[in-house]
Amino acid sequence: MSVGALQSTALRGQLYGPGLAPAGVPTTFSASALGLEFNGDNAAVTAPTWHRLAWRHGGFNATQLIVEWTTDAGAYSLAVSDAAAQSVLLAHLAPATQVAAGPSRGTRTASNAVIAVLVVVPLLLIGLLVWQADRLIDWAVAKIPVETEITLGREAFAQQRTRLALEDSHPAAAMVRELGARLGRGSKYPYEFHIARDDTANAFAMPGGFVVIHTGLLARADSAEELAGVMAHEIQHVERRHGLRGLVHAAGWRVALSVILGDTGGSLAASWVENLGALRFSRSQETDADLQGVQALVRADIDPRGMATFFRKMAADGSAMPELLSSHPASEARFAEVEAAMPKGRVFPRLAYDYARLRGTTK
Amino acid sequence: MADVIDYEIFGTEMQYVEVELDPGEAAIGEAGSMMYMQDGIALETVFGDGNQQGGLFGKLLGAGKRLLTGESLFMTIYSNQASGKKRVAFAAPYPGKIVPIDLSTIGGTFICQKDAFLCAARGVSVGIAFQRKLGAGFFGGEGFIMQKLEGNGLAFVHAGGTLLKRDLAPGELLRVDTGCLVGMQPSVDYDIEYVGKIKTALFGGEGLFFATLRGPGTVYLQSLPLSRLASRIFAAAPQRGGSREEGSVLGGLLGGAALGGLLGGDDE
Ligand SMILES: [Zn+2]
Repeated sequence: MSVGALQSTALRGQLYGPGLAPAGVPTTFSASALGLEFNGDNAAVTAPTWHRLAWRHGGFNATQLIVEWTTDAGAYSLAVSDAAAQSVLLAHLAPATQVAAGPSRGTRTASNAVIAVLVVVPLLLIGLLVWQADRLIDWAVAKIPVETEITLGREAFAQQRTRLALEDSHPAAAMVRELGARLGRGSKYPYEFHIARDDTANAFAMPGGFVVIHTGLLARADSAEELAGVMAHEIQHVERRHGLRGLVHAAGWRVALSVILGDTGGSLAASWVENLGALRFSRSQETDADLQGVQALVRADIDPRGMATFFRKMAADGSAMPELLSSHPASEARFAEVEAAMPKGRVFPRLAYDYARLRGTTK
Repeated sequence: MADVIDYEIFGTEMQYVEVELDPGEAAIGEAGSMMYMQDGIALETVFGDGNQQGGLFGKLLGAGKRLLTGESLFMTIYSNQASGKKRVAFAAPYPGKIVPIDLSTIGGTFICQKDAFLCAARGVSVGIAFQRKLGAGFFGGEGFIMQKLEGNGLAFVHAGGTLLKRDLAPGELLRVDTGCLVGMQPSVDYDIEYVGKIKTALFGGEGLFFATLRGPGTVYLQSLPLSRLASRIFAAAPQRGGSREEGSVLGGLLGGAALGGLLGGDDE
């Protein structure tokens, strides 16, 4: 290189053009009112006057200033990355000769639109899901037809059934069915009430109206009103579609979509029907089932205080009967809400069952 | 000035590069890429590429950047402290070609995919270049973070499979599968272009997104991106797991797990 290349006023860039290395050559140049002038090895390269030089911000992340021109020898490009050198050039370059970066405009815009949609839509969807998960789940649950829910529940219950020791000829079976029919009167769900031999004081309901009472719960309750209180609570889990909501919540958007599309027979559905039995409810759902249960009891003309006293008893028992309360989380606030919901000054007729005899001999 | 090193590349498909260091010269390498070194070469592990200036803060910044790129936090400097020439060799991590790039002849800067760098003469700085174009970041196959090699010495990058060096004339456009880009001169426009119907894009699709490279400048392409090799091996392996198709972001996002996870987690 000549001495001129080392002058401090020289600007640096990479020059591409005919006769030069394909990867371009590092070059120094000067910019003046006369135009671009290259130094050293590239002194022979000429460029037209400023207003005839096309230029653009291009290259990786548009970090380069790229100046382009054509001579008789061919097309030349000068790529300048140094910011100071860029500003010297920009002072000379004519705004009118700036060209758009990137490939042809039309396809570019369409392609960019697609890319933007593909980037933005999933992000929005995720944002929406995180932000409005509750509402979206409500919406999805509302889209699931009752028939689908019943089909699902039946399938889930059929699976669960093999693990249960159902005692449909239990002395209390008729009472359980009668109470259930009273509490579920007018429902769109065809309820089934079962008693299962299990010493844990528990009861559960599956979507579609499958309610199971453990013999341990029958033994623990001291009146038909207390039993009715638990049943009213379980029935409201069905009526309020808590199980379905929990399912949608747990299984996510994809599953909800398949249900909306009616794909309950699919393999997808089969895999999560199994999970129905293991469903847990949220605290707000429990409170909802309590309060709605109290109202259902009142409508059925059954004393709702049975629910309150039974829950209190279970909680006071602590370690002895943790099952019902562990799958139906309890707290003082929850009991207080139930007790506050009791109708004041109304007298209910006692249920005419010989409860102590019917509940059986289970301890 | 970066050290002027001599080198020799050995092997055909599983290559290694042997670098010859004069007394006092040094090479930098990604920790873990060294194959062997002769006695007399001292080894020093440094934060970043050992070029950071500005004291502790500069060093921390460099370290932070390297953490972001997913690279090892440390670079190793191999310096010849003997009185004669000594050799140190660096091996390619998977089948492919080692490409020597003389930064002084290409304008001082080379942009490459973030795991492409193998080793370089001391004085070459290894930094990161954030891809600022959304499309390229999401669909470019390599995310938003690329590597930027700067200086005036030799650097060695690694390409998977067979290497193609292509010199683009001013304005010349080349469409490339996104994973096949190894690196380029910074004068090359790099963007992502979508070709096809939106339906195909949503429901799976390799080759729907192309990297568009526009000259002037030199680009290096690889015939076998590691991600493609890995996904074929993964698909052929007996067990299944969370593999992700190349180029389909939505497919990955809708892959139940992600959304299920978001919706899951009962508030019980
Ligand atoms: Zn409950």
